[in-house]
Amino acid sequence: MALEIAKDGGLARPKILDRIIRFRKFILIIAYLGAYFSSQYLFDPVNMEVTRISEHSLMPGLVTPKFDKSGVAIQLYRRLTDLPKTKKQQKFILDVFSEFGLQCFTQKWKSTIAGYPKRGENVYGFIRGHRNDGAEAQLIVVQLGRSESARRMISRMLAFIDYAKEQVYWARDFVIVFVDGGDKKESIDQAAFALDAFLFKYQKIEALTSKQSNGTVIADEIQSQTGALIAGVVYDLSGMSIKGQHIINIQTNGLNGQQVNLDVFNGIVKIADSKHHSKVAIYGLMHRHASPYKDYSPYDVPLKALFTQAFVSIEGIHSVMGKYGVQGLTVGLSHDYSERQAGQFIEEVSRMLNNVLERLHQSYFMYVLSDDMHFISIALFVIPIGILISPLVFLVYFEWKKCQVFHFPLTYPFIHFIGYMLYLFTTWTYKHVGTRYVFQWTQYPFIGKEGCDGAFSPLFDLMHSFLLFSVVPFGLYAFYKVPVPCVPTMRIFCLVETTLAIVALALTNVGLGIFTSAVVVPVVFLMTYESYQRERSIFRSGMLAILSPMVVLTVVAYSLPAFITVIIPDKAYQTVIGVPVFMLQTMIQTDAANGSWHLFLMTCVAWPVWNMIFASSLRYDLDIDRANMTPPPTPAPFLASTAAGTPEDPPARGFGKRTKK
Amino acid sequence: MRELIVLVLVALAHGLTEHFDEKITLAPLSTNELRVDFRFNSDRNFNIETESRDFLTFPRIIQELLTRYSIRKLTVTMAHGRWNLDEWGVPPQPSAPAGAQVLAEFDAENGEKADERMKFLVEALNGVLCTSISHINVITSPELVVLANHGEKSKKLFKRYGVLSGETTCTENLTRLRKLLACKENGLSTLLHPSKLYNSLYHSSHLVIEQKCLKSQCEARMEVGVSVVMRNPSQKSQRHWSLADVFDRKLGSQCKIARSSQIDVIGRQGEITSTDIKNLTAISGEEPFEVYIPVTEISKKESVVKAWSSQGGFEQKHGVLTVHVTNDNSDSEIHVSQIIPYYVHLRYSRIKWECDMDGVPTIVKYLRNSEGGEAPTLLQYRLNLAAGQTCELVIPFDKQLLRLEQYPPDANHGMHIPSASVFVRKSDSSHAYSIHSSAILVLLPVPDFSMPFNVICFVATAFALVFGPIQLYSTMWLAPVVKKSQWGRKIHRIILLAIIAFCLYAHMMDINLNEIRRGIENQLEKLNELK
Repeated sequence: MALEIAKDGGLARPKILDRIIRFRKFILIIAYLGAYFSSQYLFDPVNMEVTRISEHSLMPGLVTPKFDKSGVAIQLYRRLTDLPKTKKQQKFILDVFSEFGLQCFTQKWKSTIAGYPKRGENVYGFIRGHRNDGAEAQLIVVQLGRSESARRMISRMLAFIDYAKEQVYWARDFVIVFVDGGDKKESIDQAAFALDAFLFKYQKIEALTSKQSNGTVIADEIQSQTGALIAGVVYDLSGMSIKGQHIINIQTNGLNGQQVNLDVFNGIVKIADSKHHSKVAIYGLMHRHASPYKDYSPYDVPLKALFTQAFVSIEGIHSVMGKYGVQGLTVGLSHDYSERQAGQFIEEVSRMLNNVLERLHQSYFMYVLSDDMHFISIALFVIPIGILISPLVFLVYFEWKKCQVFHFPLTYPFIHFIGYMLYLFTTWTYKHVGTRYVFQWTQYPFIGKEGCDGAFSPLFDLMHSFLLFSVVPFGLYAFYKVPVPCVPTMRIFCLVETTLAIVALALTNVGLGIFTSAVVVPVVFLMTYESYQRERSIFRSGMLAILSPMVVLTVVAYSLPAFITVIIPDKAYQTVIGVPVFMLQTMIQTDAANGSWHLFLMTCVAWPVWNMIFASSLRYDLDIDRANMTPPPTPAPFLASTAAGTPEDPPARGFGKRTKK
Repeated sequence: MRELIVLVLVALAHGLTEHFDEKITLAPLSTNELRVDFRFNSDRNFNIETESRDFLTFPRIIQELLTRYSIRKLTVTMAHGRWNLDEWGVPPQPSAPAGAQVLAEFDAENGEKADERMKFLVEALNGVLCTSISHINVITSPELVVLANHGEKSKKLFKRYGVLSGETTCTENLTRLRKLLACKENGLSTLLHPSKLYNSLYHSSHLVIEQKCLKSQCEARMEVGVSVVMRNPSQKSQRHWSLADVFDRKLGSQCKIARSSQIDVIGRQGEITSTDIKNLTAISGEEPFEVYIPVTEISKKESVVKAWSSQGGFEQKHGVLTVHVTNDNSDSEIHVSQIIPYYVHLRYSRIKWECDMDGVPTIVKYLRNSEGGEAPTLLQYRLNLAAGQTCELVIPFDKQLLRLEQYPPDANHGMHIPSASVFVRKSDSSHAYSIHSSAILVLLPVPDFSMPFNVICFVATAFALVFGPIQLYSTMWLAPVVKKSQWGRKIHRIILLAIIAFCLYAHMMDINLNEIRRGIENQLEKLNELK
């Protein structure tokens, strides 16, 4: 196509773009509708892709299982049940490994986080494949515990170890870790933390970073080691059996939106289906193929998948494996599996991972499952997000074209700095002080009953103070007192940051990306939409002052009880601030203990953007805003030399019409 | 047979002497494991001026290798599996790491000549032993002892050493090794039954050849060895093992030309029961010879130095290799040799030794960088360890992003860093042996052509395609000149729309590309028929 110097100097905007920008308010509605219908189409399992094995045709454990140590499992279960309280399970496992002639060690660990004081003792052992060179290994994790299901799982795993050590075909070694999650019911977090401590030492992170600890845990060094961990499977007995139909419970979500390679999930599903005739529940839900008698919505599982990925940092013990480059998932075997069947299931999964030729990379890492056979990949699920954020992009473009003078707002880095300070203060306090703290200079000049100085000093709760700080709209006050010199520039910053944050989230944690964009896009769009009407500005600034990120999260938590109650206990709903406090506590804990991003995103992105939007939502002098739209007084020198004459200013023409109305 | 006797007589008349000895050692390691060592030795004394082309039992190809490449000594090992130092004691010597290993000593004018000879020798070995070790990481002149049988120092010799961890050993290698033996179909070599030897816990084979000449009189030697650790084949721990149990065949013939054919069985206390089947009067297929090996566990286990390697770091940038060495119950002089391939960069300043007990002893270190882009680095350390002392050699490294052609086809499998060789010399005696640690697999950064990469490319391309023209049209001073009523443009648009519509139709109807092609071909054929 020939390009020549245009008669108008090339300033003319294409008409279609002009129309889009003129009707940009409607684009929000159109985008919402488009995202909704495209999601409805894309997330319908009928239109989803069918799972398949990408890595290796032999992967799905196409073997004849020969595990025959059910007697050993029963015997070990009795021994474990009869274990005196004075003897620890760790010692029992050490003894059993010693009887098997296998290496086994213990690793004591202790959390250094003041707000999360935990300690425990892991047991780990190795099965060396006789014919391999020890360069690769697969990880198996079981949680210690005195509950009946924990004892059953431990004894079955030990029986499998007894069987596996005699087989010669292992192309990879086994690393078997019994993690100490304590005896409480909510010990998954602690067990994940224990596995984190093990992997931190196993991968020798301190040798790479010259740090002697990761700042959160002190743990014993690993006394023996084998090769690179290709994948890891956590086994428990969280599956169930209904009327003789076994149901396997599989968890795939890792920290910060990481997911296990789809090949591993798919292989295990195939084993469950073809070898054990068991159904698979994902995210704790049965899907519509599971029962012909019950009507399941096809969107239940995808929605739960997105929700879990977005807000549940530690779905299972496997969730921390992704931090250390290990493809991990949790397999909840049916509680009613016999010892033989459970052992054979573990054998098949292990032989499946034994068949992997290369490190798992060929299949999908970013996907949303709708059932055990269908998934949508990132190539498709970014479409609704792209449609959803398109209004922000158009608004950025509109502001960019309108803005002739660019003022870098110093408040932008300043507010982010305050957000980062808030993050540092919160995490530092949680790690080093705990959930309650005292300021030295607020101490009252009284002396307590026992002469203690701190007897009457006020004790601040970290969660309450964070909540208080995060809901106070500092931006409202600051920008009311000192308006920014160039509102369009501030708008551009807010819009661009929001857009980029959502895009980045969509590419790493799609669930969080979708939920964030669904809530944030209309808020940011409407609050940054130019308006010079006083009443409107007051109204929307007032609304914005209420809609702080924590308040929005709380509203979402109250409006989606079906999902939220899974992660927020009922007792949190009994008080007014119970829900936000619980959410905040979870965020801070997972940030400090596991490295979750939620708190960082909240303090360093959401909170600063919320405060900065006040600069746009407040009433401002429209003349100043419009002044930026006026054309430059004289054409540019090179423009003057064109044969086109004086160019007409299209933005002034295009938008002037609307402003005259 | 008659020709052979004539040949021997002629050879003896000229002073050419060749011998062939064969031996099996059967040593129970536990009630369930049996170690089997085959050793076939050939030697040849000849005059280089008169008898260099006469051969009796010594393989001609080996003599040609020795002569053509001026080899003074060559050791080639191939192994599969892992030697269990804790349970099985000192490994068979020369010790073999997993994969292939070559150590050669050349007579050469200079280093370049030696490099050239090593290069051709490796290719020749590929042919002789049916290996594929062309990509072996060859190191120039190790200063310290790498293998126990190459302990002699000589300034005139050029040493070249290389390890290829990924090389697998299989029956093809065994077949080629058997072809080097004087008795291929008789004697102890009939027990080299591949399906049994490779269905084992550990398997290693080696070829050691050397030649020494004093003026015109030369002596050439060859040792072919196969070492195997087997599981109890009968699965009955009560009765003794027989040769048929172990090798799935019986010994039905003698090697007539062998000087000795010996079967050694080691008992519980280490006593050796020797049987020379040359002395037996009758061995035939009908009345085979049988040996019974006691099912026992060696009561007195030999204390042995242990070495193992481990790696740290899972990310794509950094990693760390740690070589752990634990001394046995007496003082030892230890030589540690670690080859670092070119695809990782060492952090020299952070390489360190960490020891328990009395701390780090005095360490003599040698660092050798070979020339060339893909040449590896050799780290060698000599230290004296006290009894029971454990030391760790920590080697941090950076992983390299290689050029595309440098990656193997299965790049995502990772690439090996060869195992470290640890040579042990006891201070109180002349007892010396070498062991190997385990190799590690480094997951290198690979060009990512996977799905997320494609998605990012796709999204970026879509954004570029969509927003590029918008930005271009709205900001550039150049604008396309579009004439209205341009028929060509309209036709072009119609064609494009028709193609898009057809594509959508084909997609919705699940029309295969081959069907479309076949349809077009049919249409073209019809057109031809019309003509």
